Amino acid sequence: MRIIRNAVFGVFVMGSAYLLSRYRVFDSNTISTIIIVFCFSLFFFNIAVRRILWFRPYFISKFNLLTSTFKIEKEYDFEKDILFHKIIEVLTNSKYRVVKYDEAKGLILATSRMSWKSWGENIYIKLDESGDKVNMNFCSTTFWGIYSMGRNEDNYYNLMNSFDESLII
Amino acid sequence: MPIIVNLDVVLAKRKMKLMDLSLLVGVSTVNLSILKQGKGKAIRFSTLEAICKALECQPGDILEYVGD
Repeated sequence: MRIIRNAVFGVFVMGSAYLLSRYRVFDSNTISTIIIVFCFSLFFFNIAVRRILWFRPYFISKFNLLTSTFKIEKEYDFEKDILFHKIIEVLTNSKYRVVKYDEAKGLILATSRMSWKSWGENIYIKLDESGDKVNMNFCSTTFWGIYSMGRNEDNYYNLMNSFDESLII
Repeated sequence: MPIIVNLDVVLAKRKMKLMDLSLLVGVSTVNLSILKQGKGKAIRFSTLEAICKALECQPGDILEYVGD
């Protein structure tokens, strides 16, 4: 899916560049200005909305070509409210920062720290009850960047390790 | 799991709430709930010691082995 998405994005960019240069709709300076303004606008828009829980569908959407997403689902044999608070505790005690949460909807938004090689990723966790089990939908997404260089996957494995360690009481 | 945690029974005998125990022991209510439900992976000796001290009981009162 990711390969197809990246291929579509690449074809779109190359096609757009070809058409704009072939038919000379704008001169090259105007095209550069439009691209730069568009990229900067989108970047600042993403920065502005990345801590808003309401924008979760925007960031995790498969149609958002400028973000890289890693999704996984795991089933737990815990009560939903206990698991919810446990995940918040684990996130708080690890290198992540809990930004917002909605206990009624079972939604948690956390961010990883910014570093010299990353702007930090958004981590969305959604808990859904199914019978006496709880499904945890984990989603880590870059808020800006087509490739996460494995950081999204690392976030998941780090969280799972911290969670397992926290079960030693 | 053949090890059963009888923390709820001991708490009921002492007429103590989980939140009170949490304050005495210094372990979060969430972790004590997980322990009470037998969903924890392991228990530290320090936690067991603190629980026994707070509830004035023996480890055997809290943990029980039930064979197949």
